[in-house]
Amino acid sequence: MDENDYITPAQVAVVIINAMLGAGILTLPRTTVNAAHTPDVWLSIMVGGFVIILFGMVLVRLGLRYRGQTFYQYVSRITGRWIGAFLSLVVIVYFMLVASFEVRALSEVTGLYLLEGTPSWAIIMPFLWVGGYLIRGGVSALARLCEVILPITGIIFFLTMFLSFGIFDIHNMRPVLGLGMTPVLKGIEPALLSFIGFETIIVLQAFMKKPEKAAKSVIAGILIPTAFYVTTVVMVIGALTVDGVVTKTWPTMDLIRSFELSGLIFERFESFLLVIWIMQIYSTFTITCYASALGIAQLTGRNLKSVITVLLPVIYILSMAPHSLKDLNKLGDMLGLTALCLFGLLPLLLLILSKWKAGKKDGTVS
Amino acid sequence: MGLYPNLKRAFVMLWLLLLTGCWSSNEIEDLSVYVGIALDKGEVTAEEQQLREQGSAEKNIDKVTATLQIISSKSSSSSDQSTKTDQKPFINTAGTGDSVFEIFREFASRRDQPVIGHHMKIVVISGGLARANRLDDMLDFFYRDNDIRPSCFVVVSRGEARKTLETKVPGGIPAFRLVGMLDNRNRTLEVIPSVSLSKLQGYLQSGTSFILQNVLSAQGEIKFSGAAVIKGETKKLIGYLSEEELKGLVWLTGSGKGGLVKAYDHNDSGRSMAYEMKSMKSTIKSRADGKKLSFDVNIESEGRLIELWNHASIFNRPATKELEAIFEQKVRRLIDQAIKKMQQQYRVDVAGFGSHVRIEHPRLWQSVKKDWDSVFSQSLIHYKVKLKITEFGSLID
Amino acid sequence: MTAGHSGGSEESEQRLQESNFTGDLVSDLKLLQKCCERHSDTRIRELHIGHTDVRAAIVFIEGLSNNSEIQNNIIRPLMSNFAERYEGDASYAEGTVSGSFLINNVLSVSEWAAQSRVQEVMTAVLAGSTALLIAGSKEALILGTTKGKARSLEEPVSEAVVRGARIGFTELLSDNIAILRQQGKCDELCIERFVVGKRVKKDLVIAYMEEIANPQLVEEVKRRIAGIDMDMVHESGYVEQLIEDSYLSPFPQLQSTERPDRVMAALVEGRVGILLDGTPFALIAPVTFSMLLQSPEDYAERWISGTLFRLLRLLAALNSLLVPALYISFISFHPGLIPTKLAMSILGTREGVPFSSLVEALIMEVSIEILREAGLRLPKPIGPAMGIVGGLVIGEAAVQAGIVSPILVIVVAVTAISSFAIPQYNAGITLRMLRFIAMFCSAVLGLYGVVLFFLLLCSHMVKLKSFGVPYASPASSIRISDWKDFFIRAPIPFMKSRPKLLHTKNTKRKG
Repeated sequence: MDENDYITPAQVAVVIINAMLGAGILTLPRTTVNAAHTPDVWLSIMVGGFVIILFGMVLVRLGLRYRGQTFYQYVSRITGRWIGAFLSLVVIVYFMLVASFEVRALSEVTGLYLLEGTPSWAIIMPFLWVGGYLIRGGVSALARLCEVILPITGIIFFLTMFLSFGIFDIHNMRPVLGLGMTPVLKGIEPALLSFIGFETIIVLQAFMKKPEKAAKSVIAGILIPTAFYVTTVVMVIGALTVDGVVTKTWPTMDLIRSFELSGLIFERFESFLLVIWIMQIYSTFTITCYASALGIAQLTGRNLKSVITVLLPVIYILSMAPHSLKDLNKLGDMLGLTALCLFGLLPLLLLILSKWKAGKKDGTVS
Repeated sequence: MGLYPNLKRAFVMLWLLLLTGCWSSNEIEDLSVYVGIALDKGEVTAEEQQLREQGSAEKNIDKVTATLQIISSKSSSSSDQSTKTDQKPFINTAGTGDSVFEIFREFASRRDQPVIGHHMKIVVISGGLARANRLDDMLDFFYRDNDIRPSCFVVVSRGEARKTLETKVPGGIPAFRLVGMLDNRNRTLEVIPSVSLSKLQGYLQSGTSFILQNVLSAQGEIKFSGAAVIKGETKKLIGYLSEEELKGLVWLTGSGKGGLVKAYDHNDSGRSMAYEMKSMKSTIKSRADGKKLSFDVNIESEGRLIELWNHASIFNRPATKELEAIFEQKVRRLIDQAIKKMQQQYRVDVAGFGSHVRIEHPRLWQSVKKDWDSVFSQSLIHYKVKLKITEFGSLID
Repeated sequence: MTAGHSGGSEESEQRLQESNFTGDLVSDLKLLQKCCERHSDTRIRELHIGHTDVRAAIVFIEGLSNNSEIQNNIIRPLMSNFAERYEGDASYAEGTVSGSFLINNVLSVSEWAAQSRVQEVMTAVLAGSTALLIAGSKEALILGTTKGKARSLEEPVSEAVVRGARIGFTELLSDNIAILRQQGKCDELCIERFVVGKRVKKDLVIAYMEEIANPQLVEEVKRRIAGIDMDMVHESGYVEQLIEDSYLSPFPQLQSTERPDRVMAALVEGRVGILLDGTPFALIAPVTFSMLLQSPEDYAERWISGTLFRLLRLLAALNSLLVPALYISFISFHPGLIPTKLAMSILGTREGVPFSSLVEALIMEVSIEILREAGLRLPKPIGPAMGIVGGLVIGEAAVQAGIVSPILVIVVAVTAISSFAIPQYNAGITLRMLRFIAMFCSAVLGLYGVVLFFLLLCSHMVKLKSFGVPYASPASSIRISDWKDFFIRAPIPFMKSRPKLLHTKNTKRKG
């Protein structure tokens, strides 16, 4: 690892935020409402956020035990070489799939709303080059990019959401908890899926000068996307109603497309949403792609840059694999579930194992 | 130095991209922008008939006639003053078939510039068509299409829908006029909250009954008048509310932004008076007694006395309270008409009482929402109307 | 070694230059004359000094040395009678006059040096000093009589301000350093001198605040300057290009300025200034993107107006970069993303335009660039006329002829104006250059292409570093304290600390 390639706690938070905000923000209202059938899904998202914070804390704990090491490096120290290599491989493939999922979602939405008729390779390939160019700069460049685009995203996002207030109807959000907690609980699962991205901490923490500050970063990095998500869901359901949301492929886009404000120069605002969304996909893609490439580099001991060069075509091919949007959504759900197992349950096991091992070592020493 | 080969590669790629061309590029002036659509019962137009006779058409059932209002670019150019004669800034063109999308694509073989729907503002559906077909079927294409924005408004025309997209005024675009009229809610109670495609979809999906603005046309003139009632269960038009009934409904739901109440003196029927509504508020409370539901509606309004005819002498002028009572009575009559129409004739809830039950009694709602319209038509509605004249304009009383 | 008699051959001249003075005035002068064969502006004047028999000669270049100084401070004192005083002096020696006596008692010249090598003496003389050779002395005295050919101090042309100092750097390094020092009394201001250029030597100084600047930064600057290997460094632009981080980047990685106040402000922030002899342009390192949008006036005006100006410039920068690209993408790709009324009016005005929007925009953008370039080279009185002909006539005529649409003329005009609103000339060039790439991107992939271009640009900027400082900072930093001087310009009482990104030794601006 390059000596100068380090990131500050604030940057870690920003990277996590950027990694989380991705394809999910356009589909979240549909997936959650589909599961819960009530307007209370914003509660599900909040609960989901807290659950994810717990997961994140476990990861941070784990990382703290192995300072300056990424997951790929410490996992084999916990589980032994072969299992460790296997787990690393799973994580690498997972990140690769997330990257290709995001890219594919990008090409679907861009193809639908911006570039109808442009072949998807023409949409994806330049995107991959630009992304590849960035991650060759290492994690600090990545973090700085996230820092540049996050304020842009935040301002534009909340502005467009605020503009949709004209078609917001509070009646659509009521009653709160009309059917009790059960629907809320049902909504948690899809809500959790939208939080994938927090797991990047397993890589990021290694680049921190003070890894003990990672906990704060993770909490901030989860709470801010929660605010984004809650705003999205509330505005979308408030405008399109629970029943209206379930049929939309990209409900958040439809929200922005559902109003026109003549008088304001732009009148229609989906271009803004699309722009920030593309930026967010870009950041998510680069982060996951970097995480994956770093894993390969550390596992095989090869140069990161050459790994990236090889990885990009692989991601391209993977992104072309789903046949339809339905397949893509399925892939997304599957990835989410994998993430929950891989970064929700597994780290707990690893942490216990690691503590137990350390205890044993202490025992033998004393 | 690490940058250099990368940059070169990037340039090569960029160049390749430029060479392969711009797939989606289509200059704006090469497109036909349509701003409004009228859907009528299938009725083949004269030109179409001739085309068909020459053997152009595929066999299909003439279910729908779609009339597109296309902005004609020739005359919207402002730099060309000389050609700005009586030429209309729009072209209405129609096609008939049983698939809306097919009709649209038909235009590709009839016009040099492909039609695009990004700027569609309004859909006018003729009452006859809406009676015969489900709304969600007719509009399905509009929801699926990625060009047409869900912000597009939907209205119903009791007569022929295509007539509402015509005008006698040179230079005006009828579709824009319709959209502009939807904004006049602060002047009259006859314009109801506009229903966009996305709002409509909410209604259609949830299966609630609702009303759509009705528009009448006569010789290029159009007028909003009353509303069309769509039954949630069948998603078809089942009837209309007259202007008076619609006003009653607006009072009942308190959804008016501005408008007036005209009434006559009890003693002297020639003596008309007008109340300009400044604010309107209606609180609906639902009461559940087992499965039996009843509603308490409390309507309050403030406004000014804006017109009073034939006041022979200043001493003979009715007191403010009296005036208020007269107006209240008028409003009650309107509301009675509306409730009667909803509960007895059409047996549908278009006033949103269901949503109050949903919010206030969510558990009960689960059991009644299936056949809410019939439950509603048997429930009791108590209402109180309180009008308050707070000012008298520039006159002292 | 005696004077060689070999004619012209290079080898002998080499030897000649390497030789030392002998103390014999006649032969030494011959030696010098030999050296000066090709410097026809050399003047040698012999004289008796101090009413004694001791002969001496002064050597100088006509015009390069200050004539009156030579006359009044060197020749006149030398020819005055100091023989008696000399005889009482400790350094008294028969048949000659010691240099130290002259320096201590006779010559009223502030700079001096003793030198025995012919070559060194010649170099000094050619730089404007006067050499004094005294019979019997093996060392020549070099007396500083350089007269700089300098213009008077003027207001910097390239960075005009409404409010702020009116003084700009000149071409003379010593003056420039003096101006810099005059910015305020400060004993921390370090001026370190370097000589750059292998054949034609030039003085270069780096300036920094000892107690503020990050020593690693100073070392890095010194290291890079020491690495300059060129025959001649003509202008500070050469230095800039020789020490910048990435020569492929379109962004200027050092800031060049004519304004001493700007340099001083940068020094106080903890940056390093580089001044080169012979150019009024000083360099400031490291530079960040945000600095390119700042003007000293932001600080002179009150903070509200300062902030508004900054935001305005940011808008101008974005305009200048993206507006034509957005025009192309909306016209050719996304007619659905613009307001209906606007779409209708564009529809009308573009009717009959034979070109695609890219070609249309390229025609206009390129012509406006040519216009700008032409206006720059023209004599001043013709410039405005040129603008009128180019801007009005061509624009109007092109619209009338139906080659371009009127909306595009507006777009091009807005872009051009915006690019001139950027206070840094070279930053403006960068943006104008990138604008064309943006246009191509948007012509291929529409708005998506524009976003990709923007992301590429951002990616490049975050990877780029200027002397170890990330170029994109403080945009890419959540250090709120640095944001106080970025898009907004916080009230001065709030700007208590120096930019953190520079890792200065001393972070507080206030006591």
